[in-house]
Amino acid sequence: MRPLDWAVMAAWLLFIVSYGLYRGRGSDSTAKYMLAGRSMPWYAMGLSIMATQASAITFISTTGQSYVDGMRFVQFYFGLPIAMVILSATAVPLFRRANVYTAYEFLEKRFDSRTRALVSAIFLIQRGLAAGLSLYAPAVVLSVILGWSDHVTTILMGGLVVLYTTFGGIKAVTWADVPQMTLILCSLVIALFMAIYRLPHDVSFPDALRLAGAAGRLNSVTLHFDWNDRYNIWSGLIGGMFLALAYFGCDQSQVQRYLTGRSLSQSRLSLLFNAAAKVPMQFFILFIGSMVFVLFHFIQPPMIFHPVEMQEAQHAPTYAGVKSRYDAAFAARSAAARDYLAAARAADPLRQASALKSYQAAEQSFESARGQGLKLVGASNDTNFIFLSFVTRYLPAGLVGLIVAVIFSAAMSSSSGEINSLATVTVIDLYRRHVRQNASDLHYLNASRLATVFWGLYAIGFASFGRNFGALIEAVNLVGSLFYGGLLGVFVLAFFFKRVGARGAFYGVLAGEAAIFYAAAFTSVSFLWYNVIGCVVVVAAGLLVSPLADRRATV
Amino acid sequence: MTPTPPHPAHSVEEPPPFLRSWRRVYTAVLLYLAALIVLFYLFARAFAPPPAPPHALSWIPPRSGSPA
Repeated sequence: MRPLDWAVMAAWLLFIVSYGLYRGRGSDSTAKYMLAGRSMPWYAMGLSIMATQASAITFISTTGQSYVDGMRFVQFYFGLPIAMVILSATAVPLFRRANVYTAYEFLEKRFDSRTRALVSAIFLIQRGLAAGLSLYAPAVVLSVILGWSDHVTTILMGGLVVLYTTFGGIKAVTWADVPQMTLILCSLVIALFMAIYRLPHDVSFPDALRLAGAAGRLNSVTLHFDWNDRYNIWSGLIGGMFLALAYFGCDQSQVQRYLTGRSLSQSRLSLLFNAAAKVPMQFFILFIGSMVFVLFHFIQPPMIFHPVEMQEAQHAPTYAGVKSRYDAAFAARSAAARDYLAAARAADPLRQASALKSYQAAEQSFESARGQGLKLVGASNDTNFIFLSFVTRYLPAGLVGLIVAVIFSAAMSSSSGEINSLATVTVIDLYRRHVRQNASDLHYLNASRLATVFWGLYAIGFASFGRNFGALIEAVNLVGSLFYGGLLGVFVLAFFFKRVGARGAFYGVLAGEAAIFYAAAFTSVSFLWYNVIGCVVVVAAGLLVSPLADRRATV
Repeated sequence: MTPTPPHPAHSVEEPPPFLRSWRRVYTAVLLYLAALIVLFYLFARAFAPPPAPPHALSWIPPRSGSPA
C-alpha cells in the first residue's frame, strides 16, 4: 500500500461513518430505530439487502473460487430470483399487514409465544455465531494485506460499525450500505477492466475467453444431477431456492430490511431488484476470477498467494528446488497457452485438439508445482488471497486503497445488519416479551442501543479470539445451514396451513431440526439440501402432530 | 407505553410502477432468470474447446470385447 492508498482508505472509512451518523439522525423512537419509521425507498433497501448478504469473505473468496474451480458456483444463486418472487407474493404482504418489528413476532400472532421464543433463540444462536465470523474472516485477510495485527483490523471494523449502528439504528445501517454497495459494484468493474487491460498485446479478449474455456473456468451451467455435488443447476434451482427462501424470508437480518419500506410496493421492489441483480453480479465476480486466472498465464503469479506464508516458504531448505520447478512449469504453461490460442485462431481442429492436450498437461503440471510450494508451509489452500494478490500487485496507486476500502465496506455492511437485527430480536422478542412488558418507548430505545453495543462487542470478542477456535470456525459455517430448514418450515406452516396449530408448529420445528442433524451426521448429502429436508419434515410433522396435539390442548 | 411499529398505511395492494400487475412483474423476473441461464450456458459452450475430431483420438486403444 502506497501513501495514496492509505489516504483513499482512511477517507472512505471516515466518510462511511459520518454518512451513517448523518443519515441515522432523528432515530429517537423504537419505530424509527428499528424500522426507520417505514420511510425507506426500494433502491436503498435493495442495495442494503445485497450488501448484508455479500460479506467481505464472499467477495474475496468468490473470485478465488473461480480462479481454482471455474464459474459453476454461480448456480448456487439460480434459486434466488424464484425465492424473491415467492416472498414478494406471500411473506412481504403478510409481515407488513401484521404490523410487526420482527418476523418472529408474527409467529406468536399465528401460533403461540413458545414457538416464537424457540425460533428467536434459533436465530440468535445462528446469527450470533455468524456475526463474529463475518468480522473475523476479513479481519485476518486485511491484517495480512495491511501488515497489521488482526486484533487491530477487527477492532477498527467492529468499532466503526458499533458507532454508527448504535446511534443511527437501521436508518444508519441501510443508508450507509448504499454508498458501500455502490463502491463495491464500481470497484468490481474496475478490477475486471484492469485484469483484461493487463493482458499482453498479442492476447485479445476473445483469446482470454478461449483460454478460460479450455481450462474449464467458464463452466457456469452443469446439467448433470448429483445429490453430493454442491453446484449443479438442480441443486442451485431447488436447494438454492429453499436456502434463499429461508434466508430472505425468515432471517431477521434480511426481513428487517424490507419491513422498513415506505409502502408494500417499495418492499416488494427491493426484493425484486435483488432477484434481477444478484445472479449477474455473482457471474461478474466469478468472471473476474476467471480473467485473473488467464492473466496469470502471462504474468507470473507468486507461488503462494498468502504473502506471509510466501516469506516463510523462502526459509524452507527445499525452497530453491521447488521454486525452480514452479518457474519452469509457469514458462511451459505460458508457452502451451500461446500454442493453444494460435491453433484456435487457425481454426484447425486437429492442431487445436493436440495443443489443448499439451496445454491441459502443462496446466496440471503447474498446479502440481504450486501445490508443492503450498506444502512447504503446510498450507493446502490460499484461495482467499488470490484476488487481493492481483489487486495489490497490479492495480495503480489509489485503486489498491479503494479495493481494500471495499473489503472493509463489505465486512462492515454485513456486520452492521447482523448486529442491528440481533439487537432488535433481543429487545422485541425476548426482553419486551418475557422480561419487561410495559415500559416506555424511551426505555426500549435505550435497551436497543445497549443490545446493539452488546452484540457489537460480542462480535468483536468472537472475532478477536477466533484464531484460537480453529475447527470451530468451520463448524460455525455448518451451523448456519443446520437451522434454516427448520425456520423455513415453521413459516411455511404459518403462511399456508391454517389448520396447523401451535403445538404442531413447535414439534414440527423440533422434528425438522432432528432430520437435518441426522442428514448432516450420517449422510453425505450436500448442505444445500438440508433446507429442503428440514422444511419438508417440519411441514409433514406439523400436519401429522397438529390434529392430535392441538385438539387435545383445546379440549 | 409499549411501543408499536408505525402503522403500515401503505400495506394495501397497489400496482407496480411498470407492467401494470404484480403477476406480470413476477413472470418477467422468472423469464429473465430463464434467459440468463440459457445465456450462461451458450456463453460457456461458445468458448469451450471443440470436440476432438475422431481421427485425433485414434491413439486410444479399442476396448476389449468391443465390436470391431
